[in-house]
Amino acid sequence: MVARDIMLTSFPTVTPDTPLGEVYQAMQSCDLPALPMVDEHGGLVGIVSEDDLLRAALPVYADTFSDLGFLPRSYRFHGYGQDRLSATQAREVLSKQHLVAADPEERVAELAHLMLEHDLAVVPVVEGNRVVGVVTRRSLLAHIVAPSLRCEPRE
Amino acid sequence: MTLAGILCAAVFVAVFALIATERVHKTKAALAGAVLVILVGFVDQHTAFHGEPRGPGGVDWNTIFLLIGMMIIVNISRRTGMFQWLAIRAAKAARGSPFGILALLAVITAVVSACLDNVTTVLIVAPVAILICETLEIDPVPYLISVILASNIGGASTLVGHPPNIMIASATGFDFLDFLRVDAPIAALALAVFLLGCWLLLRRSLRVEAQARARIMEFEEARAITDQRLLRRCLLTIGLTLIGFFLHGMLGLEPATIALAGAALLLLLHPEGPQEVLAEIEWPTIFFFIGLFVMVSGLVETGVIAVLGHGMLNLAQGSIAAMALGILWLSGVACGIMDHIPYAAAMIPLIQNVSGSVPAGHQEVLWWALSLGANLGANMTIIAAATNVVVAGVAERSGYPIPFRRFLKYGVPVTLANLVLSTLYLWLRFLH
Repeated sequence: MVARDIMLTSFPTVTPDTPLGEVYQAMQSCDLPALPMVDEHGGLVGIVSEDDLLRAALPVYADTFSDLGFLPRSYRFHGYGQDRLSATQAREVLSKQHLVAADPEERVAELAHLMLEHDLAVVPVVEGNRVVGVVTRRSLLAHIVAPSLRCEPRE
Repeated sequence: MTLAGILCAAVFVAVFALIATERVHKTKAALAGAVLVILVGFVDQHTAFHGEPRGPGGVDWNTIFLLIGMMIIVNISRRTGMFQWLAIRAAKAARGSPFGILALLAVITAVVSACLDNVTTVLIVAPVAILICETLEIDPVPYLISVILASNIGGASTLVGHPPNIMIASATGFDFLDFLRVDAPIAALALAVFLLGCWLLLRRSLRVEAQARARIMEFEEARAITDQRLLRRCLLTIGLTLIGFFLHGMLGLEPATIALAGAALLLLLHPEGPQEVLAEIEWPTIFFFIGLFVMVSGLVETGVIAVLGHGMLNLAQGSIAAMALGILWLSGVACGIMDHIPYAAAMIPLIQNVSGSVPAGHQEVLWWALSLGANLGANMTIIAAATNVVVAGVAERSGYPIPFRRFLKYGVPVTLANLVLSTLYLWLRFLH
């Protein structure tokens, strides 16, 4: 079993200048936790994930606090108001781990390894410099954990 | 100077140039330089690694172990959220007053930097300062600069505050109380003068809405504490370690032994395994020190230090005052542009060398001049010390870059004022 056998081939993509508001809508419409970001030629730029959106909602220095529980209930991070966040372009929140991609012939074991190693929600599958599919954790798990329940990949 | 001396000095200068121009990471450059100095034979392995007891040269294990011990204590303590608690508590104690917050954060930063590692202190205080300023809707940059300046001033006040003091203590045998006796009063004065300056210059421009001040009072600082049990254990360890520092001279123990004892105690009390804590030790800094110590051993063994010492004695023409104040100002200016750690590493054997030619009882002032100059000079530019660079990094990532020139406007007057104060202080106390 290889990536080609379990990947989704129908999925939305985003571009570097897609606003985060639209990124979220696209994620919601296809129920994917992350989407490939592609350039004008369909080449992979990276993956924008829910993690990236969450991180963008916090100030950069948030990771230096061991606990943010001291913030008042009413607290809203300044400069990160909702309007501004939804208008932010996707390229600004992209983290570098997203340069990871798989070949269509990639072994399923390596896909699982990639997901854990790089903490990826989906692995993009690239063939001839174009993104041809995405493998989700769910489709991989279906193959590993419950092969008898497996549905055919969505087209 | 011998050919070996010239070549060894050339290696030292080349490593320095690589570091200053950021061509090569400072740790890589220092380690490569150290190995080169041994391989070429400027210093034999035994002297490079062990040196002479209380003499120049060799890796100073007191410095290495003190740094490692303190890093372990701080790495565990910072997980408890106690420093965030302290900073937020201060903001609330100031009732959201912008100048009150600036002053209290400066005092806290200075005190914590005096007892613990500066870089860790500012890494924790700087983000809280940004958060508080964002809440108050004011520019965080003056606050961040104030945190840097206070951290360097605070670090100057104790044996464990800044690495040059650790190295000086190891070279001279001065104990923790000696540093409190000589460095702490001038550091306290320097901080007071700095805050007075801020009050005179900034109090008008620091205005916030009552509504913003009220938001500060809504912070629930108690919830910043992640682990009450661990917090109590950390406070116990830090308390015992500080008591140990106060007593180390009397007990005949090196401060490094006290720090390692504190680290061992806290590792035992910490429920988690040591791997994670030990992995967080700043190994690049530790190896930077090791590399420097070996390179400086080369300078000592090839006679470079002796030649420089001779030159210094000639220049001062036997005047202790000229020598002490010369060291103070040279150190202040040099450490305003470059890292004070390699500077102090090279100056220490130099002062050990000239001490032999200085009348007994007059050597002490030379060491205090080095200590004050090297530590207070770190405030001059944004690149002068690791503390400054770390805060600049946090500020930049958070969207509030500290431009080089903007820092100079605060750093240069503060450094000059501190050096003038130090000159008067050394004069009245030792040279008069």
